[in-house]
Amino acid sequence: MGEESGTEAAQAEADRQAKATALITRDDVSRLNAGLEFGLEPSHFLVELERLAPVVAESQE
Amino acid sequence: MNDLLELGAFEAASLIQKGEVSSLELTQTCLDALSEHGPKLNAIALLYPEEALQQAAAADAARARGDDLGPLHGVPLAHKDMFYRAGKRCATGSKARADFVPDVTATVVQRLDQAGAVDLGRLNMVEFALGLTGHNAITGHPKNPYNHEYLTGGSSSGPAATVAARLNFATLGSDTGGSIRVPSAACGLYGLKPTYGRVSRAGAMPLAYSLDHVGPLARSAQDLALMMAVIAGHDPDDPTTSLRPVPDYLAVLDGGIKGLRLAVPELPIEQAIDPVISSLFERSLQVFRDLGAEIRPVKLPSLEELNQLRRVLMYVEVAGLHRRLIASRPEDYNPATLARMFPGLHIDAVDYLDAVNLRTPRLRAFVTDVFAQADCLALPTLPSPMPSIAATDLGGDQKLVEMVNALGAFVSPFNYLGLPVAALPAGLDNRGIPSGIQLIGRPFTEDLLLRAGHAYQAAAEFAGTRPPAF
Repeated sequence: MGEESGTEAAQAEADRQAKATALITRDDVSRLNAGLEFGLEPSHFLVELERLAPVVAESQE
Repeated sequence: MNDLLELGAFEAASLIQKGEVSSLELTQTCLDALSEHGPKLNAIALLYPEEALQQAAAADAARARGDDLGPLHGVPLAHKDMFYRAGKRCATGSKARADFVPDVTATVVQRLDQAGAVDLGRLNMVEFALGLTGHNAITGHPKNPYNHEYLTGGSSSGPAATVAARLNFATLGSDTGGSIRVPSAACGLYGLKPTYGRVSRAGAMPLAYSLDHVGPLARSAQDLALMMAVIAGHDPDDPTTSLRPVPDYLAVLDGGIKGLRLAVPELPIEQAIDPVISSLFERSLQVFRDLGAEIRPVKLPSLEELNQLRRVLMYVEVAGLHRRLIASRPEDYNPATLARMFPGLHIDAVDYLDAVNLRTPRLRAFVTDVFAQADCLALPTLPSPMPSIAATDLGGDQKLVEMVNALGAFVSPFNYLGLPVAALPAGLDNRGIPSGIQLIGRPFTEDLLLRAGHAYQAAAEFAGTRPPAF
């Protein structure tokens, strides 16, 4: 019984690693081709840029 | 050289609208000039002569019918070879993707189309836009029109060479660590790296998505404003673009800069500045003083730390995009490109995460420290005069990486911070090679930077140089 659990755990770990490997080796060529590669974090960075912009825009002065 | 090639994009558009010149005449003139002189500068990737002439004829027909005309109606332009047009080969300066034909058109190209511009084709660039010098052994190094022994700067090398040589009115470039601003400086041009999120990157070849910016190069601040008026603004295809309204960049150009508070770095700073560059920088500052600006020395945060953080983001993101290609086809890459791609495969994930997480606090600190008492910051574009091609043709040698890092000391930090930067000409150095000055602003103050650049251009006689052979 214990041995079976060990096998299942090993299989689960192998599956997890396979999934992780699949994630990090996804097709970079197609991403280059699409020209549509955007990270998630930059949207948070954009919020900070917006917050730090002058309150009164130059053209509205 | 045909007098029409002396026009700016704004002037060309005005003459077409008034019927004083046809789009067909302008387009043929530019195609002839690009075909004759472009190859001598190693600047041409692929021209679209048939389609361009068809577009020009359609533009003239639309004007004859009395159709509404866009702000660039009938104006021919060629761009860096990384802005996709569906069905047209886009090699991005590389051998690995020499035959790549996209099935999408970049948003910025679509916007130029909608504004009436005629697309002349694509111009050589540094392989995959990774490099500040302009070297590219695959396409041949584009040559500086001021002296063919010198670098154009990169990675927007062909675009800068053609605009400086009066073969092209204005152009689209990209800037991940200085690739609009360095060639602008080396070729005596005006360039704008907008705020991160101001201009869409959709359909432009990604290099490092956290740092990539798209913007124009031209021979005047007015033409930068015109290009920005067309390309800026939110794009549903690029979720990192801002929803913030786009100001009328052309309308604010003539406001002058009396009372502008212009920060300059309090000396000494970490990076040594060549005495020639210091002298040219001081001459540019005097122009701003004479225009009524107040110069304020400010202690800068460490630019070297910002550069180190930027390099972590860049190396990892570049390696992430190219890992399969550089593993399977390394022989297709320039050694200099590989030397800057491989390090990203060996950077710890936690270091990348640190660089991501420090970006917002570093931005906040920079804006607070530098812009508390100033409207914008002035810095030389390059810390030293642009080197010759021969002196810097180092292949994949580690010295190349060090040289590029030194060259980018004053430009690259602002990709990490995402701040807008205008690159302005600072005149010729003692060898007759152009140099540049940067104005860095708070987020989304492109209008202020363009206004300052416009005032500077009108006042600085040395800012209007032209290559001796053109």
